[in-house]
Amino acid sequence: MAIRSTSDLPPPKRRREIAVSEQLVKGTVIPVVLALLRDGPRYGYEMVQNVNARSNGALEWREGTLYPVLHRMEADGLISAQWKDYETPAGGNRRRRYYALTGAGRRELARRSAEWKSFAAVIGDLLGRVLNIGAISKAGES
Amino acid sequence: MTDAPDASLESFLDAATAPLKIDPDLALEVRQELRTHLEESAADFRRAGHTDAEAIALAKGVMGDEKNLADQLWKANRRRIRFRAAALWSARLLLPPATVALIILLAYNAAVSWALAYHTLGNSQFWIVPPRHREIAEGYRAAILANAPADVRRLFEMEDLGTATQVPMARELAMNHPADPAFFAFFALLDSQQQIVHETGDGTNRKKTVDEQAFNRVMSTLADGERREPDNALYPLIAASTLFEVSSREKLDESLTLHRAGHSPKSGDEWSRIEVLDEKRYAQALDAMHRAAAKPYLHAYIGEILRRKLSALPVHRLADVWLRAEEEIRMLLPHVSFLHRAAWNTAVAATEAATAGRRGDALRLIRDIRIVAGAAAADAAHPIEMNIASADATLANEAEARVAAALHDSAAADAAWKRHDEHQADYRRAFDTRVSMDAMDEKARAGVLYSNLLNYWTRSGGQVDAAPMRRAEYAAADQIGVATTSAAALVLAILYAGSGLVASLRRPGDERPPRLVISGRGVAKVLALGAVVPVIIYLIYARLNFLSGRSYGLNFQMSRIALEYVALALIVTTLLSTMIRRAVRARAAELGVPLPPAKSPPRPLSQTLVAAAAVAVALACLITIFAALLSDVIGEWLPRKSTPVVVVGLLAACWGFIAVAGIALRNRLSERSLRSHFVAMTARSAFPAMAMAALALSLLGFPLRWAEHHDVAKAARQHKSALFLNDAESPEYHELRDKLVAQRQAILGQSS
Repeated sequence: MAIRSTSDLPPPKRRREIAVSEQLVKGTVIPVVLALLRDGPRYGYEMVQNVNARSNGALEWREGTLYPVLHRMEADGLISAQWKDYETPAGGNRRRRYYALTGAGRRELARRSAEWKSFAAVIGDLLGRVLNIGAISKAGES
Repeated sequence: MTDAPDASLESFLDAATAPLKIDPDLALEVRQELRTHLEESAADFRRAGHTDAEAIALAKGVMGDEKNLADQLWKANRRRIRFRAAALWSARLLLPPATVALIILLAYNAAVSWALAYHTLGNSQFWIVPPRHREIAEGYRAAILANAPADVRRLFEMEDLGTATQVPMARELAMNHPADPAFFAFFALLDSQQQIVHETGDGTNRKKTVDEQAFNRVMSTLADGERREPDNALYPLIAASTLFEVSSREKLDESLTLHRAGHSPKSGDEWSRIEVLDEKRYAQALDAMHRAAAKPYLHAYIGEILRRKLSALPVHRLADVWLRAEEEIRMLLPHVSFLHRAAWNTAVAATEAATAGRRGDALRLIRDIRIVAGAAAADAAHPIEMNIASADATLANEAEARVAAALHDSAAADAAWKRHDEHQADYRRAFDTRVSMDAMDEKARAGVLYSNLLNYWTRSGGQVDAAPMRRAEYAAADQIGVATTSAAALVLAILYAGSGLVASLRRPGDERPPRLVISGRGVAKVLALGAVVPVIIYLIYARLNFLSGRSYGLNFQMSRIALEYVALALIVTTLLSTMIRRAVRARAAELGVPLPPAKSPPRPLSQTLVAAAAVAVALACLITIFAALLSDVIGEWLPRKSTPVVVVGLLAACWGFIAVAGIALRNRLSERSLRSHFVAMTARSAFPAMAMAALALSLLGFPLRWAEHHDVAKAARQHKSALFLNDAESPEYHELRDKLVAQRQAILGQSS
């Protein structure tokens, strides 16, 4: 079959249990990258794989959006990059660009984590009350 | 996954990185990163059962729309692109002028010392006449004197003017300070050295014409001086010199040359005769000399004026020391020599009187010289003055021997010659350098300044540690050496930039080799290992005297230092170009730029030999050009008119041979276009790192300025007198002074 565009192809087999809105995904790319790099240097494709695996496909990153974000973070001094060799399965030698947290990146991660925790607590609390109210009113109706 | 390039992948990457191409290094980097990602993604799809084409298409699909990606990448990187472009242009525009300015600043400091040394010594110690030495020396002096007190500045300004301008300025100073005897004495000395006598004709027909107006004015000034200081022998002594000059002519008479037993037969003791042109003034001259001898003291104030001048000169740098030494020599010698003229004419007058049978007159004249010599020795504030006082005493002894001989008193003549020889021996002990291996060794260790100006000071018993001044001279030479090394790196940077420009102009846009950016860490490594470390290692080696031979002075080691710096410049430029080439290669490998094999195939010996011979001849041409422009040696056989023609011819030959070397190597380069591409890419990428290395090298020279200041200050602290050459004084010097003063006292005692 001649392939004219990606729409001609079947979608890749990925598990999607909970879909998160694209806006929310975009807003979390930077803290997620910072969190991923906390454990050590990673390259772009590895980060995508890791996020997809850990979120069970819930945070489906469009891979093209990752690199502009990485480059902006690098320009802002949050991460640094270094080329490293790796051996391809075919036995060739290629290089990957590994990103690592800088000092400023670590501080930014700490700041964002704290921010996220308080944000999540507030939203969780808020959503919990709303859900409880809904459940009580549903029970009353029934 | 396949390693073969896929056309659709390449076109995706082209589109995604198209806006970044204004920064080829960044475009290549992003392209390489995306390619790796896409290839890994495609490999995963392939493992999931898709075909190659499907896998690549899926990988591209997951990556997103290439136009949108290109837009996002441009937005994310535009700040970095602008910053890198600004940094590159700053490097291009600022680094070369900044480095040139630092090199000039560094070399200028040492060049001033060199120029002043040439001025002071009247010859170059280092084969080459310092270019524009007069302008450099005068410029430095003018800058120093800008802050000097007005009167002192006037004293300096006078030096470079003719007597017609000097005298009114000296008069003005004397009139402005009527209570200052030094300014008046200085005015009287300058006034009396004006050209009062004009000589015309030649040989036996030479005639003297006296400028009566000038003569009368000088005599009036001297009379005024004698009224101001009636006890000072200075004014009658100047009057005697002036009157002898206008009234007589001295002629060397070979028949009077004596070849004494035990002395060299070739150089006998020469003597002159006097031809009296004006009897009256000649008698006045003898009378003035007698009057000078009758005064209680002689105070010429030359040392005093010199001290005032030197008080305005700092002692921070080696150039300052040379400036002071030059000042002492320039200031003292003419004036003191003028005063000596009176003693010389009186000595000849004594022998003339004895020949005429006027014994009493002859002995009186000799007595006058001895008294004046003693007074001059007592007044001497400086070795040059003491030297002249001693010369006066020598004249008295020789005249006494000749007078005795003329009066047929051989016993008295022998006794006088004996005194003469004893005095000469005293003089040699006080002033001469020992001629021995030890003395030669000490001279070699003394450095340029001390070995030339204080050579007698390096005798055993001398109190000088020559090491600080010797180190200061090395520090100045090191500044030139480091500046030269920095200049070599800068020239290499410019050559890289030029050849990179030519390479990019010769290739169309797509084939143009990219300009790669060596990372900050890479540049730091190049600067540290290629520039800073070799220079620091050399300077450490230089401090280890047992290795570097710097326990001997620059006067002895100049050739070695020059060779060492040529070698250092070669090592540094070779290291820098090798490291930069490696850095470019590493960066190109990161970015996936195709590279030639790291090891070159063996070069045909014939090509190597031709290229090496051509470079050697080109270098020889270059050295000859420098020698023709700067060296005294070449200047002697090369007529000045022919110099431009020869230089242009040699320059053309030099370029011709460089072209031959290039052609010899070019054949080989064109064998592999990859290698040619890599060379061009290196040339385009090397400039910023190489220019930064040149800047770092020039900055490395500045601590040497501090070392020079430190050593000059240390040397200055051990000088006992404000007058530099006074440190030539030794116990023997003082013994000679005491003897001459004692002789004067004895004569005056006999008279009373």
